[in-house]
Amino acid sequence: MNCHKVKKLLPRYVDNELADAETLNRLATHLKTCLSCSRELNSIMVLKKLVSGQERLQAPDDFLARVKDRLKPEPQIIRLEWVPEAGILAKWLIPVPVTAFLVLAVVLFGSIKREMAAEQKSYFDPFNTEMILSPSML
Amino acid sequence: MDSHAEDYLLIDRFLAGDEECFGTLVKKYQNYVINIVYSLSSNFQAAPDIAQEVFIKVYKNLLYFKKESAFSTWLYRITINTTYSFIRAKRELFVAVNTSAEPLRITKGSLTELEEKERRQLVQEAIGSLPSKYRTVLVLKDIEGLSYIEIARILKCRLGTVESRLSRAREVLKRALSSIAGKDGEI
Ligand SMILES: [Zn+2]
Repeated sequence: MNCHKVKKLLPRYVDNELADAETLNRLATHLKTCLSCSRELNSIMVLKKLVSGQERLQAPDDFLARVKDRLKPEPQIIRLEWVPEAGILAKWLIPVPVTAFLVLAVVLFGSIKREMAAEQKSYFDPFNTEMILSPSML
Repeated sequence: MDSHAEDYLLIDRFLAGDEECFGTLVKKYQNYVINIVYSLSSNFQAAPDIAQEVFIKVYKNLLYFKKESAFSTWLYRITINTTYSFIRAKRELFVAVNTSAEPLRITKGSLTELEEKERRQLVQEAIGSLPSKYRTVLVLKDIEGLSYIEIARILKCRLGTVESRLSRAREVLKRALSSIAGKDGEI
């Protein structure tokens, strides 16, 4: 086995992915006598050790409880069921109050205007400036 | 019963209405998921939240899980995807978190412990700086200890792709870590 072949197989060797006994044997024989390949093997092993030696995290004790909490249906989710109907709602229900409001506003404004005019007519005193600026009239 | 068969049974029972079985699956895999999330994201604070997100997706999608693969393969795939979408979404926040990482405290522990902590931090930074396709393979192999074939199944790629990405990841990492690994005179 030559260096090129060995170097190609080294990661598999380090990663425990070489199962073939004969290949393993020939690899070992080469490594015993080749400094260059041994160095490369060592380098991969050190790197692997560094990476695999990273600290392992433990899930917090309440991990499952938190997952379950987040799975509980919230009021928002119930409202979400209305979403497909929102278009219809928007089409029919929103214009109703808007129209009602507008009609009411016109009627009210009209009557207020009439009242104001009536008030102005009956109580308007050109010499009383206070009356002109009274908030009830604005 | 092997682990795969056990998972399938738990899934069947969960789908039949036994909610407890979902809890059993969570308990069985929570540490694997948290560690993959952390190794890929380098985000210690967010790792549990992202891992919870993973299991919420699992809960909602178990119905569609086809038993063509091991449950763990499917779970790892969801874990990787969820983590990377989090990274993409919170990229700016990430920078903030990383730069404000708490300073090392010297009060407790010996100098070697401190060095060890520093070293781990450097290694994690180096892993985090790898392009995601190399990072994923490296984490699954060297941190999770999965086999090439398992990684290929999770990533839906060829064995040769796993090998070449792994070699590339190690090459880049070797250069990035030459200073600390050099202490041992090995790299
Ligand atoms: Zn050689």
